[in-house]
Amino acid sequence: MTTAIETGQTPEVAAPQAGATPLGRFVSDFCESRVAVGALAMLLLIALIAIFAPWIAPQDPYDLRQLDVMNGRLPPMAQGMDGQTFWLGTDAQGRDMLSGIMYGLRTSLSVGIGASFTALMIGMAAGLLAAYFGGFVDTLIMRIVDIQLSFPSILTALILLAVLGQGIDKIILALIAVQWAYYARTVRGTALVERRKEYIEAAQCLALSHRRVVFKHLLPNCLPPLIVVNTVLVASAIALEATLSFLGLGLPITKPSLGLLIANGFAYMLSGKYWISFFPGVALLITIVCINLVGDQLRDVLNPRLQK
Amino acid sequence: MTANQPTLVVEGLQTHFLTKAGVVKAVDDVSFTVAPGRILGLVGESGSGKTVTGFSLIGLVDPPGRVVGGQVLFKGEDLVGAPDDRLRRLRGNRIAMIFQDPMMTLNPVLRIDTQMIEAVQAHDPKIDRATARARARDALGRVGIPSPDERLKAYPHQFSGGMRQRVAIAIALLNHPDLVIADEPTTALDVTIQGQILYEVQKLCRDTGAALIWITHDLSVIAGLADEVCVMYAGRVVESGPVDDVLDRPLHPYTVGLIGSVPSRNRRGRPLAQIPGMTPSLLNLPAGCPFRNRCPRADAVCAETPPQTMTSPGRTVRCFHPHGGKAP
Amino acid sequence: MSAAPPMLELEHVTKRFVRPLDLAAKIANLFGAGLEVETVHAVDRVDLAVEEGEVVGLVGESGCGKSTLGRIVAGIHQPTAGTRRWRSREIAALSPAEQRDVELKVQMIFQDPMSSLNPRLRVIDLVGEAPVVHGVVKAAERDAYVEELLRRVGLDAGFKRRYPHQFSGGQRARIGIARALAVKPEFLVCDEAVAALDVSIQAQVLNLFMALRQDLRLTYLFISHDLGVVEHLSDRVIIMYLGRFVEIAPTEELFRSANHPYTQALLAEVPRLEVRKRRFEPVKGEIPSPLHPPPGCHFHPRCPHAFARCRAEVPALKEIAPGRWSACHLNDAG
Repeated sequence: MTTAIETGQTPEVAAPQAGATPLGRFVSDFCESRVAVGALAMLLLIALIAIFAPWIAPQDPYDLRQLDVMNGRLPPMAQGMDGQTFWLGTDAQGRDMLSGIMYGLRTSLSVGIGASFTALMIGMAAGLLAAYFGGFVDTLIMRIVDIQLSFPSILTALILLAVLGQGIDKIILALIAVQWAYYARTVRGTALVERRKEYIEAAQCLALSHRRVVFKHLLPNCLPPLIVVNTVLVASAIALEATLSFLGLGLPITKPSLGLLIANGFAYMLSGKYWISFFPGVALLITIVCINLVGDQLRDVLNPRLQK
Repeated sequence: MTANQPTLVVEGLQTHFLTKAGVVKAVDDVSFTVAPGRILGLVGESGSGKTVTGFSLIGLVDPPGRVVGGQVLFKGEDLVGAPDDRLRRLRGNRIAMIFQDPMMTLNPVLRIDTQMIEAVQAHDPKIDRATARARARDALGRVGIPSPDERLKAYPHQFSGGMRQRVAIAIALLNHPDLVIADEPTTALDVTIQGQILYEVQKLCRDTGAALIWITHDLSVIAGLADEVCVMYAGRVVESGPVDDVLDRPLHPYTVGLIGSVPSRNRRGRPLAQIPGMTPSLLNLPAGCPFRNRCPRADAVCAETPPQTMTSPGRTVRCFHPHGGKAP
Repeated sequence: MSAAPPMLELEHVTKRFVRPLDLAAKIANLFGAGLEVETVHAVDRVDLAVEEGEVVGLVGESGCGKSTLGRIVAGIHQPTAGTRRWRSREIAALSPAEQRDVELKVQMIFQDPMSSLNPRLRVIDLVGEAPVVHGVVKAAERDAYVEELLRRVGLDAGFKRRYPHQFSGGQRARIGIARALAVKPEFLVCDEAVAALDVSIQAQVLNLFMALRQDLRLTYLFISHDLGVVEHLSDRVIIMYLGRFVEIAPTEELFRSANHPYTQALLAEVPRLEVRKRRFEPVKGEIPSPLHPPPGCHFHPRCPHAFARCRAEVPALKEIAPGRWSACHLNDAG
């Protein structure tokens, strides 16, 4: 049982306090978990690799002129025809796995994060409107959300892709369609609680417009659970995209993601050339685990704050 | 163990919280005594340490808090440092606690009779269900709950706030404890319901001879209920003694200020006598007397920590410049 | 009795909260389940007139509807029935711009210092947003205006860049007051504004209210369950029980000789510093749920003087002496 500790100051003194902004406190609370900080550092490394892939990858795996099929299916640390070392081996066409993973991370992350954030925007708007206006608007939006959520996400994505066809924009669209409903529901729950709080009543008493109350007062206070859900859903978007690519419905060959790389190597698993699927799989695993670790710590940091 | 032995003797109790920002001395050298059948009021505002004191008595302080010093002698037995097992056998049995929120006692998914029978059988496994149920029924009747047989079958959410608190009190008194610690149980209740609960509690203590510690910020409740009172400020007991003496002839400037701030003590329409400033942060206590910065009587000598002095038997004050015992 | 019309009036104001039947219940009703809509009469045909400059205390326990009434006065809730008047003009009949002006003139101070301030905004924005939006002060002058307001409520002006969590309960209460004062109100509704504060801080904030009343010529509706505070502050006191007014009287007269049995019980039950080692003799019975109010006089199940008429007929609020009103059948006897 914790007690409330007074932190007031006498009216005469107005000295600034370090780390006093909500953001400052949040950062210092987050850093209490070394695991989470480590995971965050790993994620930053992955992001940097993804961003700078064209400059740091030993080979551009999609430039067919750089490929030599004689280099195909070489194990890790093998020497190529031109004397270069393939650190993680090569695939059937002679592509360097390491470069492939770097470019694959790039695609996976950009698709996953892009889709997730767009879904967040849409879901947040829907959830806020439903919570603030209530009544028919709420019922309508929430029934659509319920229907959406009752379908398995893979099924929804498959149906959409079957209708829309292949392509990076279609994948992103499918991911958005699958994810917006989670955000909507989360935001609506938080917004319903916040809406009852007295500071919203105070804003209404001060005759502020609906728009101002929703966007300036309600929205910023609904963000904490959204941030937590977002980290988990980014991971889930990346995983879903990988699944779709693995099934062959995802991105085209010219823009392989980690999922496609895994799919490509799948046929070789049993014949002992594990590295073609294995290393992309490990990269995917590390990315998703790190995102989840960061998300866990975020949830722990933000929750007690909410309960206070 | 003599018949006149006090139920509880607290000597120099210290509970510290080791937080990121520093050590918070939530309870700093607190001492008091409660005799059987007597009611002690522990009065203080937020941050005074009264609730932490209550929790420290029976080892309910969670990390980062820890009881770091002093003695809590329950009928001669020191509870500080006692093994968890021993404390668990005492809690709910010989020492009971009533919390501000009755839902801290009541499990929302269990029926009342289940919870009460469990409370009885936990401390005496030999008692059979029927006897335990009868005891539960009596306890509910004693706290003034109408139709106890039907109420036993109900769930906590079917009761109003006042009823729930009465059920919590009934559970506390099931095993006829020697000591009851009540932490602001009526603060959240309406005046008429508070009146009922105070009545029940008073009656029960008189009848069973249990000692009661009533923790509150409301001096008026203590005035009507308690025999002795301890006034706490910033983790220390600044004044203690019989209720009449402390309220009619307060010694410590804080007590004087507290009594003066009550609206009924002021002439209608005139500004209320107020204590300037606010409670200092426990992380940032001034050296010496913690009330120094707000005290009209403070001077250089108050930079030293004032010791607890006994001005007459049972009457203590912690101040270098106490009022002369005259009414304010 | 002044010739000027009352500043704020409520006439036959009722507020009902209705939980509508959902689809499942409607279907059940088709099969004859007879489920009824749950209605709470939070406020039941209340008449109120507040003169300019007075402090009216509104006292009641939980479920009596005082908070709902306060919110109706402040314009946060709309009444289900009845009219609200500002200086004799019906507010609902005004143009939107005039309505907005009236809403700004009536401000509310809230109970919970924690949740009544937006935790994400700095004090400068909390206090300074509304006056800039409504043109009370120009954006360039906002900082100086907010600083002046903070000083007026007893806070250091340098606090304006801080966030609510950095303040104590009493300081937050003051920020809430500054926020209300920023739009230059004439009428303040204080809904349990000091209930969550420690006694010593409560005294400071009450003194602030009294000083503001003097300096800014404000009118107050002071809602509280704490009779001691109400007695100190108010000119007139209204006692409310389960949505209805049961007694209205000038403060001194009410506390000296209460008429309604509920008021008498309330006054008897309030713990007082001077009363030692009392034998509590409580009012029996629980406060009824607003969902199922007792028929006739709402207080009759707990009233020591109840008789047959009390169960059958709702007592009207009658003037039993100049300025004194009470809703009790006992006043009719004899």
